[in-house]
Amino acid sequence: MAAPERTTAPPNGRLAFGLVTLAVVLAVVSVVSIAVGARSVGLGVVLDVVGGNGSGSSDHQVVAARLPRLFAGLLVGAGLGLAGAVMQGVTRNPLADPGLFGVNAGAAFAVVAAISWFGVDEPLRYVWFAFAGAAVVGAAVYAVGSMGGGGATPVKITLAGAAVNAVLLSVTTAVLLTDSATFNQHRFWTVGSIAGRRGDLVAQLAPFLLAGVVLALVAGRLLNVLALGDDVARGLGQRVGSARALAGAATILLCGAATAIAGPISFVGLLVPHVARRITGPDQRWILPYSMLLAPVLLLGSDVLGRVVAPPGEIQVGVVLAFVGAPFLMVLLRNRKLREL
Amino acid sequence: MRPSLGLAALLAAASLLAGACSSGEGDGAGSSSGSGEALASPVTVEHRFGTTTIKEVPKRIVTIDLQWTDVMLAMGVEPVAYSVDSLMPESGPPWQELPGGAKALALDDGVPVEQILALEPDLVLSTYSLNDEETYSLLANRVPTIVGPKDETQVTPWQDLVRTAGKFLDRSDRAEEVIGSVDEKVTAAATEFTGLKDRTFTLAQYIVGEAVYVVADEKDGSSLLFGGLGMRLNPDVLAEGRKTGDTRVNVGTERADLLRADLLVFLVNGGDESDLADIPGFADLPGTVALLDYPTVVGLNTPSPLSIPYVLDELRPKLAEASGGGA
Amino acid sequence: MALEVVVRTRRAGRARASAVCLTLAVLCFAVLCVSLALGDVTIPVFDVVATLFGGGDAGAGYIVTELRLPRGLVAVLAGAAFGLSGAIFQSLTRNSLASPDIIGITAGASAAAVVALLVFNVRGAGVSLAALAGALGSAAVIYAVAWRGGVSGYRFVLSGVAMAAMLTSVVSYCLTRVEVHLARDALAWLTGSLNAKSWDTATTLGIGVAILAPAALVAGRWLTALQVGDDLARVQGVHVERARLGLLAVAVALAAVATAAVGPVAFVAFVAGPIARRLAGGGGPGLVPAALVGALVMTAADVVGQHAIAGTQFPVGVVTAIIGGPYLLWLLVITNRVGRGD
Repeated sequence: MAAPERTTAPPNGRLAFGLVTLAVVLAVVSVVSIAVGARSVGLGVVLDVVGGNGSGSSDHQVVAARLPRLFAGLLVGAGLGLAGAVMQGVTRNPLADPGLFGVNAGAAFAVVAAISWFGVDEPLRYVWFAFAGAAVVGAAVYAVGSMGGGGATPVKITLAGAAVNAVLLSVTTAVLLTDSATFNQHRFWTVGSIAGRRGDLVAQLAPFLLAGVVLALVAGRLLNVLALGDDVARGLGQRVGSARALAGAATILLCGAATAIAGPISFVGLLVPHVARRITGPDQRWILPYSMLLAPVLLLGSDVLGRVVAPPGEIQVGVVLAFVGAPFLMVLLRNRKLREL
Repeated sequence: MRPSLGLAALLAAASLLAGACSSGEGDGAGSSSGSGEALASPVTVEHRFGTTTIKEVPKRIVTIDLQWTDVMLAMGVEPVAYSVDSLMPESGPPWQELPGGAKALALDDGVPVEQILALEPDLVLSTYSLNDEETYSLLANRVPTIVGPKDETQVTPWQDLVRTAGKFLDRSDRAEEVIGSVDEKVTAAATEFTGLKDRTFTLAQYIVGEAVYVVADEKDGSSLLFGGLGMRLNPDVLAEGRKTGDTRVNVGTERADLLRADLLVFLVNGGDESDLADIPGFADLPGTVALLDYPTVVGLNTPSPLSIPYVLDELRPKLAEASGGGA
Repeated sequence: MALEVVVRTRRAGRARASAVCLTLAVLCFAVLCVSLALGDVTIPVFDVVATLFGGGDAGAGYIVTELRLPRGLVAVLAGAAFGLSGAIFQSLTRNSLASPDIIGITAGASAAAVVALLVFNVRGAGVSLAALAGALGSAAVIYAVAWRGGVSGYRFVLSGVAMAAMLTSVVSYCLTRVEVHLARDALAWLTGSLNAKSWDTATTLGIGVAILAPAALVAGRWLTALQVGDDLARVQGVHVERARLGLLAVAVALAAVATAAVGPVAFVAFVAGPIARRLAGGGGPGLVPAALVGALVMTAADVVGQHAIAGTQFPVGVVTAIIGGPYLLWLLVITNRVGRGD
């Protein structure tokens, strides 16, 4: 599979050092994301809140409200980054991304169904619909895309995802057109964002994400074997089917929960593993942790950007990422020989 | 695959098209020709898509958009059909009492031209929904049709709508009465709550978890009503509006300071009162907070002679609070 | 001997294709007539016919000739344009999933139209122009991105999908930035509707299709050559890249004019090609049957949307989404299972 940029991996010591550096960068970005926002507050206030001195002025409240947003960003970022890396590894598809897999459209449709047909209009409750919708559609797209000869080729699976996306999108639009009240709520959900996510909502989904993280990291070694091709993998005594199932379960937990928290966010899962692979070489055991740390850096960085570019309003992180991600994808398409991946 | 066949089909379509085109001229546009009583002098209304002249008192009126429906009802005229705002409760806006005989028009697939023509109206009235010239012409070829003002971002003052109705209904006296009685109610409220004078107000919508949209337009219906009570729009919001060029400013939830006003009129979209706790600093806002539902906010944004008295009644306790309490 | 068999099968194939085309054309005409006769104003069929020939009373005449007829013709023309466009895309990329709905052409039109509607407050013809420009613009960008000393089908498809993802996000973002009734206006456009289409739209669209459809049929000959493979096409004297660019241009333009007229009506472009191929048989691109199927789907969907539930009118796009969506999914499964997905 993958990554013709590097065929030999750098020594493990350097990779481990890189990972630590990345963790430091993530910590810095996290602090920035607490300190910077639509309302500018003094550094003293930020330090107060970080130091657990929460109560006080409305500035303190503003900073305190950025904490659940930070946690949401960390979890969603890590989840999408890992999910993308696992998907790209297991499908040997450089374009695998939760968004392109129809996961977003599945979640969006489920949210519409929740609001419109089941009268569920509390985010805390329709989050489960989003989770279920994302999981079901993601699994279905993968199943359909890998049918037939050649397995899950990039074009097949991308088109399967795009087709399912298009179907769900137009059916969603059709439902919304005849139900204005639902439309009025849903239009905000369809733009992925980590603003205003309550701590309890994030906490509800955190266990699923953490379980996904564990599964994904465990799957790293299996992905390395799968990368050699199914026949070789079998020859090495690997049960290909169960390896795929493990990776699939990890992906569904990760992107289902991430989408349930933040709404549709495209391109993180696509972009980050490519950057990670450029640093680490083809070893999945390094790609996965790198992706897990890089993705929240990108997500939180984009979120901070969205907070400051259009004062006094904010631009949702999903929109910022689309504008960062789509050009990247196009460059990727121009520079790579996809058939070789 | 078979070009000859394709060409033949195309030619057939083209000839059909040409034939129908030539027979397709509608008869005289923009004038009513019924058996109704003639107006002393024809009434001419200028609007987005030209001018419309009404020569006789219309008897069968179709109202598209809330404001016209209200104006007709206030004038004592029952429309034969009216459009439905699908965001309103099923029973319609709470201030309206619609006659059972009138037909409710759904606008899900745009303005239903044939449905309207089937009712054989002699006047069609709209403010913003009839905003496409093609649809307008299809109606106006058969029925005098009045649409919104040239600048589509503007809401026509409701007094103008009532006066126009007074002219074409030949009941200008009644029109002045309607305007007078509504103005009286506003003045009465202003004198009752003298404390409101020079206090500030803000009208905003909170999209739960996402953002706040704040009205920064002095010509907005709400601004006019609160202006009538002696209040003024929060100057900070006006300044932001000028900076961004928007009449509704998108404000991050962290900027609760822009909600600071003696009276904050608030719509929570996609949630309820409990969600307000998510806006940092909301509880510390000094002024009176009035939470309104969707119909009432519509009644404020696009005011009509029926909605204003209703909104005033809804707001009464909060107006009293804002008038009394220091800020 | 062998040659004779080939010729005979070909002839049989052609006969079948002609029969299918004829049937489709008749069906299409029949549905069009039905759409002329049905509506809120009840007009006896006899009067419908009379008004078409200049008779009948003025009131009924107006409803038939100025409301229903242009609407029906717009449905036929837009449906045919979508069908042709989809069939060309599908043959060119050798993938039945690659219709303009999916690979970013429609998304370009949608994004431009929504920006025009909501950011610049344009209505009516301006929106159509924006949609036209958006479709052509996004196609040009996708082509430029996919170009690497030639354009391969799969790179074009993947660039298109990426483009669509970005543009969809633009649309979602715009919808959050405006009052709900304005957002609904945009949503209505995004669904695609035939409501209140007059002779203005019918004429403009008619001119567009009258120019583009013959061009598509002429260029369709290259399509047959290209389907066999680039090398064989070259042997036959076809300039492969030029032919491909020409075909793409015509297909994009067809989708663009149709979208400009009626909005991005879902899946008509997508379903027309596969249905036509199933009906007409043969391995060719089957452009004429695809155009006819497109027209038929569109007119029939509109009749269903307008009259299936008394008193409620659904935009044509709602109907095609609900019918076309499941068909697309089914086709996806079939296509991949028999291994023709790539």
